[in-house]
Amino acid sequence: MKIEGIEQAIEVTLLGLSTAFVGVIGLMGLIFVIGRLLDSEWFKTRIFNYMGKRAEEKGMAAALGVGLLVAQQKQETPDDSR
Amino acid sequence: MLGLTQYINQTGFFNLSLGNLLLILVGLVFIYLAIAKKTEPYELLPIGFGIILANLPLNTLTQIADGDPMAPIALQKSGILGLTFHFALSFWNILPPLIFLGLGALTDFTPIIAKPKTLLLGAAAQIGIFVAFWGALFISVVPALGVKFSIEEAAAISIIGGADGPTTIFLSAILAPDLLGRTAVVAYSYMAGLVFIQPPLMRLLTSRKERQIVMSPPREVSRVEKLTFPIVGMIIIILLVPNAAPLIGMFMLGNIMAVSGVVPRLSSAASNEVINVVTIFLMVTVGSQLSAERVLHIETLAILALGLIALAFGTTGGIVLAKVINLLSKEKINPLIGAAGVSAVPMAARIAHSEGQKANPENFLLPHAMGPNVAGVIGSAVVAGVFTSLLG
Repeated sequence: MKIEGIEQAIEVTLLGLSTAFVGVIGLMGLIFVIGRLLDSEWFKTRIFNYMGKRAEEKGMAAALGVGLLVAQQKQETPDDSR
Repeated sequence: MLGLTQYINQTGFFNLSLGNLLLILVGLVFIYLAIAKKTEPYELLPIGFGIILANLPLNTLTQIADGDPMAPIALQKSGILGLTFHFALSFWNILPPLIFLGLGALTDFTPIIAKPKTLLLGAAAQIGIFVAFWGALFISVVPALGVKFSIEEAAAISIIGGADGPTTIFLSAILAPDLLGRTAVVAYSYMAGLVFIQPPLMRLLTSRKERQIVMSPPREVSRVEKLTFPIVGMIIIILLVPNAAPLIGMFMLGNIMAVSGVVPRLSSAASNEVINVVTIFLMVTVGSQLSAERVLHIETLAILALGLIALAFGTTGGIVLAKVINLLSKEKINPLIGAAGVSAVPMAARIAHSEGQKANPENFLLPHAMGPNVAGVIGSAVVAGVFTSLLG
């Protein structure tokens, strides 16, 4: 007795299982790295402060907008406090 | 008189077989379970109705006319469920991805982001799929059983172990359209019956002490992380398995629409109107594939057995890996949450939670079990993608 396409079946099994595990391990790594990055002081001080104080509240998309707006306002508004 | 005889011959009553009656009874049982026991009502009610429709002889509702289905005459002679099956499942496999769009909008990735190692449990639970895959191939070489599955059919049957209805339908429609009704119904039936299948295995594979493990509360997840996950996850998975794109792409699209909070109408439509309309047509169409001539074969019993084996091994895979992680890691996880790695969201997570509470009433496992549960959805979609890449 012989299972038809046994080589293909072995290939499917090995690739299927390894892809599932490689995929999730890759995702795990990325979640870990991105989580650490977003949580790090470096990111918060350099990126968030650069983009504007409201960045964390409003999310990344809004943060970019706020950052640009703040930068634009700083450029456009003359400092007349003196 | 001749006209009367001809008329009687053309009625459904004259053409009704014992097999049809048996399947109509099965349809009625599904409807009873949905209404009286509230068992997976969104699936079993329309499926049950579809089964009854499929077994009323000579009705054209569930049929697609012979010949070129695109020919106008064939389209006119075909019924809506036959056309839905042909065009929305078999020819263009669009209904399962649309369901995934809605599921994505309803899914919260917070538990996975908070504890990424729970993703591993979702992957481990896919082992059941491959055990059933080999089981299907093995029984095909035992002549005494009278069952013969091709490698494509074995894959379509084995995905039942993912306990994910739309993924089962998606894969069956591509690899084994003739088995679609049966694989889908077996998948949904076992998902409904998980509450009977999993707890004995969970108790068998874990000690009371293990079931009592209280896990530390998950960390807080920022909005930026929640926004990043669907995009990064989608890119990685689709680059790894391009054929998983229809399911994963729609899943992540639905999720980012919900998480972003900027398109509440789209997110609400995906998780309500879209998923509801698609569920009606998908489930009735699946039921309509279960006519007596398709179902009453020894193969159906084999599919039932293999589906059960797949789920049992999937549950075992998740629990065993959780125990292995405990051996290697300082921070202990309750192995019960490994059983939630078979998709069946959120049923499998609820079962893990309830078993945990039986061992320790103060244990609250639900948020922890949702991690492997959602990971299981991703895992089975990935495996389905691998199957279609290699066998489709």
